[in-house]
Amino acid sequence: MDSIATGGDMTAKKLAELIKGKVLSGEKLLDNVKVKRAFAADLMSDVLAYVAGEKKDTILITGITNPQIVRTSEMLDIPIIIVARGKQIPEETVKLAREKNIILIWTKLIIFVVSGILYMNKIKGAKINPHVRKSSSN
Amino acid sequence: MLEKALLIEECPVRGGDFEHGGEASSKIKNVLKRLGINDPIIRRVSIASYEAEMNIVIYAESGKLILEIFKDKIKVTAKDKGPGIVDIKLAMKEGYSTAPPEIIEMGFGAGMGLPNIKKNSDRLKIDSKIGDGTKLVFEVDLR
Repeated sequence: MDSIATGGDMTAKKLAELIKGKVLSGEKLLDNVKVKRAFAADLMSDVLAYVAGEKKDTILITGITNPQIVRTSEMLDIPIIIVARGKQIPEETVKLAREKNIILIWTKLIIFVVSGILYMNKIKGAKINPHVRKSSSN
Repeated sequence: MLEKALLIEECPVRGGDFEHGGEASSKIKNVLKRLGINDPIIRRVSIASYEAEMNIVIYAESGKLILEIFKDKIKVTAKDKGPGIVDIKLAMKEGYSTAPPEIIEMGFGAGMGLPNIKKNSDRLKIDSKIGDGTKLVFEVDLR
């Protein structure tokens, strides 16, 4: 297994390589943005209710492609969105991600496989808001 | 005497406009950032605002978010012209939703919105008139 950046942090660049992803926005940020946690969901309502990523270190993995994935990430300070299942991403979503300096990565892999690869590479589950009913993030 | 807001910002929201839904909350977030409000508070206000804004986008014809900043708290009012909420108590229940399937396919309408606004705020008040509209006010204390 390749080495991982110190502190368990993974650069966006490394992340994109691992999932054979195509970077659609935030190309210039790839070396600087480092993450260590992830949350996978198609329901943005759940993302908004569960993710407690105050450290700005959490990735969103989703199969949804509308601009609301960027809005949701903006509100939660999520720096990277991975759109899985090879879904066609509308231009307005890409445009908004560029505007908000959010890295948008497209991959043909399904969410299960993306999650598995990231987990194998020491990415943890997102920190969960204490006020939602107990769930395990790891 | 009622305390006066130090700053008031009004942001319009269009019903059904999913492309721009979230812009008002984005504006609110930026105002709070510029004012140097601390991150956890910005986060709570942003999440609650966005949930309230998306409720307008999903259910109402039109509306607005009004941000008011006081010395000791942040107040956001989400006002809309729309169908109103039939049973507010039921709407506050986690998982209860009247959203049509196409909204759920877009990633919303899971019945988490209002409970999430409540969780992220210190006070929440909802007034609704059937066939007229809804006024939702939430406050987050500045500590």
